[in-house]
Amino acid sequence: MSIHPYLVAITLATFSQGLLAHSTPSDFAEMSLKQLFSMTIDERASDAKTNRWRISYQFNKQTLGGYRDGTREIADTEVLWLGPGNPRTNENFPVLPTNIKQQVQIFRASYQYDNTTQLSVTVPWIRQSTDHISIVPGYNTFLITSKGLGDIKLDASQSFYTKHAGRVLVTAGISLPTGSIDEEGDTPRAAGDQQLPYTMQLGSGTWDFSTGLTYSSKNNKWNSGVNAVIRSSKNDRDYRLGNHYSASTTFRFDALGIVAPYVGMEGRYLSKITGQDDAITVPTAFPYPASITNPNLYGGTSVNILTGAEVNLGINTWRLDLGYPVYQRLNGPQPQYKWKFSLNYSLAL
Amino acid sequence: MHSVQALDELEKTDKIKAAYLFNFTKYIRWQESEFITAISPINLCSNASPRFNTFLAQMVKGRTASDNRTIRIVRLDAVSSKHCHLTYLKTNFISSRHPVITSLVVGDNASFLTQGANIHFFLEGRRIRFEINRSALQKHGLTISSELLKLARVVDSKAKAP
Repeated sequence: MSIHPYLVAITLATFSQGLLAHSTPSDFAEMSLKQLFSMTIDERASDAKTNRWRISYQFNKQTLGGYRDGTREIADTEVLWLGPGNPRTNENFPVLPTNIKQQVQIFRASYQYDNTTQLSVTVPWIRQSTDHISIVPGYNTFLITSKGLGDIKLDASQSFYTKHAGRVLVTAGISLPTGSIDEEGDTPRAAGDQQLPYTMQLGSGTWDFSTGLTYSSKNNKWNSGVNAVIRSSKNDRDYRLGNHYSASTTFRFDALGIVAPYVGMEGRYLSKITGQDDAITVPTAFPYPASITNPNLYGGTSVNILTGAEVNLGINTWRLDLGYPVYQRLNGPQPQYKWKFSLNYSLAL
Repeated sequence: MHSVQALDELEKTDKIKAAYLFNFTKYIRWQESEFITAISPINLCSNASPRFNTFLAQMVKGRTASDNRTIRIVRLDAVSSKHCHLTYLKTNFISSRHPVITSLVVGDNASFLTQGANIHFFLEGRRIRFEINRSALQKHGLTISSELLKLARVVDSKAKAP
């Protein structure tokens, strides 16, 4: 699994929905009777006050810990190679990441071109840390961190309305390779700082394309959608992160006034890394010192239950999202995802 | 989740209706006897969705209606009796145990005439229009602005009577 691009992509998908800034209560309150009288019900019509900006801030956190191969959970002691005298295989390693924490802060500005079209730019700031244990003297336990700008994304979304059936939202975007793929840190591989594994990099290093299709029922209670992120050719370090695809559905409850809780389910598929960064391998019969340095030990399928709530107070909107995996089939052994959390605030201008 | 989270905008049709309701409170005057004090608010009761009511509440917040009164949005339910000055019926509402005392009923469409609506919305082309039963409103002691009547389709139930 390529961790940060994964988390960022989830987050960007979140932002690409739900932020369509139509006219606010205040806009409508200021309209005269004659203005209302001449206003059409067409969402696309420009008779309402549109062309507005919205800024958002989102804080995301995700934790990975423990190992999984296929659907089977594996103890850390099975994945850690205990040194000479013990069999070394392609499924055990002298270095073992034990706890991976990732935080992404996302700043977003959106421009509502009309009632159905929105353009936006998203800037992620990433901070991550990984605890390790290893059999290498002097590195029995150690921590690696990285932080910085991630891949900036530009996207556009278009809504299509049907009179009786609800709304369809189509989103397309491109992410720029602005996140570093040259992050270094002190690892047991050699003295001093060396190139860090894929999980600790801040970007994909490639131009990536995203697309999504979401259907919302007329009363907005049911929402279902599919999303994809497609990577372009390999980056400067001769690898390409995996494509990922997801499908999800949610149901929202309206019974609590301004607080709208929801529950849902999400399925995700992430493919392996293509190519390899040779700088993070070692020239031995077993070139991968840790599972996260092997490009084949990324990707897999997961099913997550989702819950959260949104509070909408005029131009201010708060949103809380929680995700917990109920099924994971991973190309392992690789660290498994434990939970994710997201808090979002947006302000219409 | 994230990819399909709720799209929370109210449909434009409902926004327009909410704005009309707000305007009705500005262009219709109630008798003083319908209020406890000179500064009592106009109770605008609604059985529409919470999202609609929230939109309506945000719309009227800090704004005033006729006679400089504030507007209070009251969620209409079958749990307790309500005293409303204006009642908006989005869906059928029958509660014999907890009656609604109201002088003006606005129906979401013409089907609410049977529930006593004296104003109802209707669609004309792609625009929302409203019909006012003037004599019914006058019977309840309501005064309607001529500006509102100019835009309305006005019927007079007395005139229609055989």
